Amino acid sequence: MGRSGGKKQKELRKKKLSFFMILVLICVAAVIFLVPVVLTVLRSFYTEEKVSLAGYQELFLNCFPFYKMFWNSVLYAVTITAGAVLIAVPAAFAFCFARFKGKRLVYVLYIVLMMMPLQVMILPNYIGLRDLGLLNTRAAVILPLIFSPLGVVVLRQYMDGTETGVIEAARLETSSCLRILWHCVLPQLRVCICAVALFLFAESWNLLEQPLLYLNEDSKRNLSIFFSQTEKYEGEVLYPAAVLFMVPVCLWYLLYHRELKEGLKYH
Amino acid sequence: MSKNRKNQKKHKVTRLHWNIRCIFCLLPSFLGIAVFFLIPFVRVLYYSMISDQFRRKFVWFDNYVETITNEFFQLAMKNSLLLIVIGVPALIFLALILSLVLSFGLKRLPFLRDAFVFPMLVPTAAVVLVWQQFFHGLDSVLPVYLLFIWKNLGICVILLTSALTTLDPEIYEAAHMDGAKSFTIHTRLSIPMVAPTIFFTVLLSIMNSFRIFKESYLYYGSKYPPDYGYTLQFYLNNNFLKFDYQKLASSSVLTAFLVLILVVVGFSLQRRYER
Repeated sequence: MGRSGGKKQKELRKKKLSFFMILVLICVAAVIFLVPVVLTVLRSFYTEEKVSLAGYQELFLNCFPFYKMFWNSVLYAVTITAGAVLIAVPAAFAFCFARFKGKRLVYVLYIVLMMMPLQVMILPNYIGLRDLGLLNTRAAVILPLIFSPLGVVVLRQYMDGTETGVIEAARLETSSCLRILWHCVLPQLRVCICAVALFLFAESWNLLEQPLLYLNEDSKRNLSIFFSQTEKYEGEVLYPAAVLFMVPVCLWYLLYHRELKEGLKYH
Repeated sequence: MSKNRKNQKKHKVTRLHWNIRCIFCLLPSFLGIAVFFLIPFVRVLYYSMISDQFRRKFVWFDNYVETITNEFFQLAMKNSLLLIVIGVPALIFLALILSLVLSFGLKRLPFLRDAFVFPMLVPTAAVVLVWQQFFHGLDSVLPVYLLFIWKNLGICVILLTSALTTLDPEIYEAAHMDGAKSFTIHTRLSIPMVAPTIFFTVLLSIMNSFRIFKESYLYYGSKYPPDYGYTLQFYLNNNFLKFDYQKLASSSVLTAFLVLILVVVGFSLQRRYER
């Protein structure tokens, strides 16, 4: 009896020990993952080997391209996110509830397009934009991304797993798709829409290739380009600019991190 | 009888109306995709088979042969495949271990997950400065691989943990009662049960590995990258600046074809596994 109790205790202690080992390891990994962000923030307050706000001062008072490019980043990210969600929700709804020939084929097309890397689509996009006369306008960056199939596929996957009984019932009451969308589908999709919006915002905030290739003037380009031209700007301006570049996504993340972790699923 | 038939007819009509309305919901998205992706892609196919923009002589596959034998295209392809063979397995391995630990061992500390999820939202350009300073003078492709893992671990961890947390806890209790070690439980139970999700994360990571251009462009600066950092996008970018549409079109189509094969093989493997 006593011996088996001792054995059990030994086992328990061993278990506890391995738990702490794992905890420490994961914490170390977590710290390593956060180091780049933390270092950027710390470095921004550090000019000429002492702690100061000189970098920020220099950025705010003497670096005018930053304002323009920051504003462009905001403009692109907000319009792309809003537009993409607005178009993706009805499309995902149609994929779930309409019956027509070739629906599967169209959906497979969306998946294949979603998987296509940017470098494959850049030339087709460029040709489409050239034919519409949109090159070197802000629409050249915004429009193709609004129609990106990612949101449609993710929302449809999520919608497949939700209750459809409410929608079937609502169809007996009304025949308006928009009313059903607004009253029955949107409340169920809230988490997934937040996740998709956050993801799209981060992606379009991080945009680099499109502004680089479709636009000729820096006045229309966004902040990523600012950092690719580091030789143009002074070193002490760059770190504060990087910090301000991270602030919007950090705020978004603080507000919606739960939705992000729950809304993106693969069935 | 006739009333019943009338009802049926009415039902059919409303069904048709419903479908038409639904298709109207899909239309904006589909039109956009057609205008910006599908129709231009057909033109790219055409461009890839003509001699040049002005004479437009049909040359079949000459451009493809030229692209495949081009040494820069080969270099870019080699680097891209190297990332798929080395970077992607490392990423998936890390993501799998982290997700298992976070969703079983450290279930009560959910905030730890945030440290790994958050980097996926941070713009690459904002952290690349630290990267450049930290790896200053290191003559290797390692920093870009690390940036790739840093950026892409988040989405893999999200997908894997959300799959792992839906597993039935009763199975684990049963396995524990039978005296199975946790290593055996996870290799025999957890991993096979989330295999479809693992397949999907592998596929997604391969697709994301093609997008490494952003990282390497920002890391190496807008000047010419070293040989090991030269990716497909640099090749395309340089041809873009030269307005060499034929070379561009044929390499786009080749890459699209490669990705298509990967997607088809990936999904059919997954389907076979599920059976």
